[in-house]
Amino acid sequence: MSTAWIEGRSASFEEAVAAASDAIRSSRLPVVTGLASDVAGIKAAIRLAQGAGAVLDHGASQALQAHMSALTEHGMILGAPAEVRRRADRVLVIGRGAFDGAPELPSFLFSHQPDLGRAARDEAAGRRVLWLGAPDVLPAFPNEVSVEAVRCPDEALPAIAAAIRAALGDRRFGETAIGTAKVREIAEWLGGAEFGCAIWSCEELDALDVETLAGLVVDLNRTTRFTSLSRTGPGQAYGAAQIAAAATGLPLRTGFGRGFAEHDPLVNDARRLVQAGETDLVVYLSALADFETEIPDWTGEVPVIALVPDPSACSPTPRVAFAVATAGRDHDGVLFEERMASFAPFTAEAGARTGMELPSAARVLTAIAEALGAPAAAEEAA
Amino acid sequence: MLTVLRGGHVVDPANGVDGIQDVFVEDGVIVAAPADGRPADETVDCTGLVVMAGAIDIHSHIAGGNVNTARLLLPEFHKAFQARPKKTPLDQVGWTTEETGLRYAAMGFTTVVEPATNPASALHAHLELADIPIIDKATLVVLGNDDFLLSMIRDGESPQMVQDYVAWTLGASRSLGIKCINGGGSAAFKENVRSFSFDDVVPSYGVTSRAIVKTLQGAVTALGVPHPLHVHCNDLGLPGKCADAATATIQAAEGVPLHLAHLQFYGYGREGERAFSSQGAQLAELVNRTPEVTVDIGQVMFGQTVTISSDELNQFTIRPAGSPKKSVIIDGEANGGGVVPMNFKRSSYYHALQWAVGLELFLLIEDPARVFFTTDHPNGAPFTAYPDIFALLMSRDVRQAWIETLPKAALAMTTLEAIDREYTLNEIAVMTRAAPARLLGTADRGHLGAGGIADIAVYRPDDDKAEMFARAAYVFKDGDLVVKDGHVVKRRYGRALTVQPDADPAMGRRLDRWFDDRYGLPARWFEVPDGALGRDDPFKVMPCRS
Ligand SMILES: [Zn+2]
Repeated sequence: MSTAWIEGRSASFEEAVAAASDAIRSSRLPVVTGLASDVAGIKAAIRLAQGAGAVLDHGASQALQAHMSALTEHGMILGAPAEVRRRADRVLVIGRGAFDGAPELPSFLFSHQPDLGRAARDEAAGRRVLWLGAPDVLPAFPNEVSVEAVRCPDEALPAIAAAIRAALGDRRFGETAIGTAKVREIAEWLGGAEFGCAIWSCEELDALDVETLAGLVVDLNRTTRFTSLSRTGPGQAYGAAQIAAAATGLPLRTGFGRGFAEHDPLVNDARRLVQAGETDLVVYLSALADFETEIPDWTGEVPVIALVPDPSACSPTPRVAFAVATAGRDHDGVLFEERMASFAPFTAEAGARTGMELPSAARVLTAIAEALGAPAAAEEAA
Repeated sequence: MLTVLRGGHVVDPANGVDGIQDVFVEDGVIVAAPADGRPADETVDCTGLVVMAGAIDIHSHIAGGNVNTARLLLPEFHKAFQARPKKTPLDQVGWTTEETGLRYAAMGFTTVVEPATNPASALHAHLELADIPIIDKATLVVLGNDDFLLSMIRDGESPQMVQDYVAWTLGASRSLGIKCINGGGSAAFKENVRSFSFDDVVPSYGVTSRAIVKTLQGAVTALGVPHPLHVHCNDLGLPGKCADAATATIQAAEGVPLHLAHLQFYGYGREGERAFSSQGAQLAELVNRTPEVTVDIGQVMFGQTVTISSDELNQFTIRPAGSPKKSVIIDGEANGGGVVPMNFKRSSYYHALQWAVGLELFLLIEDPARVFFTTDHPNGAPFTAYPDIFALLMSRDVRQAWIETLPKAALAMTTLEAIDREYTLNEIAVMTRAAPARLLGTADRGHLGAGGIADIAVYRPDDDKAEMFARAAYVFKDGDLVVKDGHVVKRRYGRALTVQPDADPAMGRRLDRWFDDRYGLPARWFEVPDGALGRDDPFKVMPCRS
């Protein structure tokens, strides 16, 4: 069975590595993206981007960028989901997509009765959830949790959040989609939390909206404790940003074209670089068990070096393709784990389908980087 | 291969050496001069040079969740580093994993301890440490705000149970020691307590910070973990209260080893017009008469930096003093943390006083084996400021020149100008080599005696001590020549030093159930596996005392 292809024709691993490195060498500005992989795959992709003078971006980094922009502008108060599960007495969920991409999160957070803080001293205290901008049909919540759904269009949420901030600060605010009295009621309810948590997904929000929500959380901490879960999108986007920060000192959307790392979230947006015709080669890595592994449409006509579990599904045909093992299923490794807000080890699933035959993304990327003459992941004296 | 470092001035206080001597290295280890007179295969001429063991930094925030959050918060710091080298305040910050290793090595440091690893992000810390080239490293894992420990103390569980929990945590997180950061303070802050002192009680537990510190000190000692409990006291930086907190903690050592981190940040009184004065002399005097206590300083130097701490309550409190005005506060499982940028200005009365307090402590604590050389990187200053601090300690004239640029009113509140002491090279070697190795229980380093690993730093003497210590003439790591004239000439990767005291397997089973039930997370996510770091041999286990 073949695991590597050049222009759709099966090739040896070595031939494909050589073809990939040739393509990178002759590229004006390669983009290394996707980055939906484990830590080893992401680290290898970063080294390849450094060696190739490429731009580095995650393949689904819209949400990540909204979060990072708010973070680097003003900062945030953030919480670990596992602590929220044990401690939060009042939870404000914002936007219909708050739990998108993590269907198990409501039950992770709410199946456990809070047992720290007020709940530890006062068993009657319990937990209440208010979902602002709730969908018409709520996802399954564990039985005991009381959820108040306040419905409004998603577009109205930033104005409502700003109005709640104003109400908390005794400032005037204008009319919103849920009415003045409801705004005041929610503000008072939030202020009455002992340890509250706001949850939103940056997927549907722009950076200014995230700033407003983060600001609301900071304001609440003037008098009580309140934290937030600012969800940053699928496909290990936040893990990739973390690994990139340690390796390059910078969050994602970094260019190495001038021989050193330059961070510019607008210029180094992989999708924009394709659409503006500024890149002529995309290296796309997507090999996670629970994430889209096809090459996205936005790569358009730009030639692609694909690292995915099943390149035969790719259209158009990649310039060079490698079938790689699926992180989280086929081999041991490390993934960013949203529930613990950090990295966790995983082991290959018993009887993994292809793990024994396919190379890991890290192995392929390292081989390409070495063929390029990039500094290897020096192992001289481990 | 036998290598000889010929004719250097060897400063090796652990072996009582301070004079011209040859040092022999074979297979990465220091060996005695061959008895048969066998000639060396390679000679490094060290005539006129100073030869010391590789330096050891016991407290520098170089990896893990909070450190990386600072990188994410402050991309402009790195931009400054790249755009105008040598012109910006942060041009020398070792900001990436790569830079961290290269810059430490260039100064002759070969072992660095990351002192605040949250158990939940131990794997994250080790993933970063594994990418730091050249140096060996270690983590201290943080306990003292965790529900499991606080509940054990509240419920009166046996010392043996606590020891099993501490041992499990050390083993799972692959750490070298235990740190307690504002014990109980973060837990209290989660219940909206805004000020928390040594004898205050954590709500829901009825447990004081004192009880937490004493419990952990007892467990660490009973387990034979060489590094004493490493304490970040309560009330950091709060004038008057901070000095009280440090005093109470030192007095609570009660004859048992205890290490206090970054004592400078506790050296403030409430005297004077601005209600901000020095308690440096008083704290130094207390340390001098409490032999079981060791301290590191956390020296402040001037310029832009960022404070990174698991003291979530304190980081929340200091946000208004931050610059630029942005911060991240994290409510983690058990421990949280905070990242607050800080710009220490020469023109500031407060910052100048902090600078002077650090130097008072360095100079008035008499025993260089009990005071450790740190800036609490990057909290007081980036570690790249070390050469300037060596110069300040070794020369009264250098100090005077700095003092003349600082607000007189601040210096007038301290004893600094009256202090004549100048550190000798031998004392520097005690403080940065012999003593840290003893404090950490890493007998394989910090000295140049036969059997030690060949971590060696060779310096070119210079009247300008900052110049001398900024760029080592040669650095050897495990016998490999890695630095020449301040430039890295060979990349290699060191290991993380750990201890592995025995824990009753029953504790592991109890924690499996507890993590699963309470946090909904498998306990194995808190255990750093060997294979996860991408290195063949990532850990070196140091022995515990029997
Ligand atoms: Zn520290």
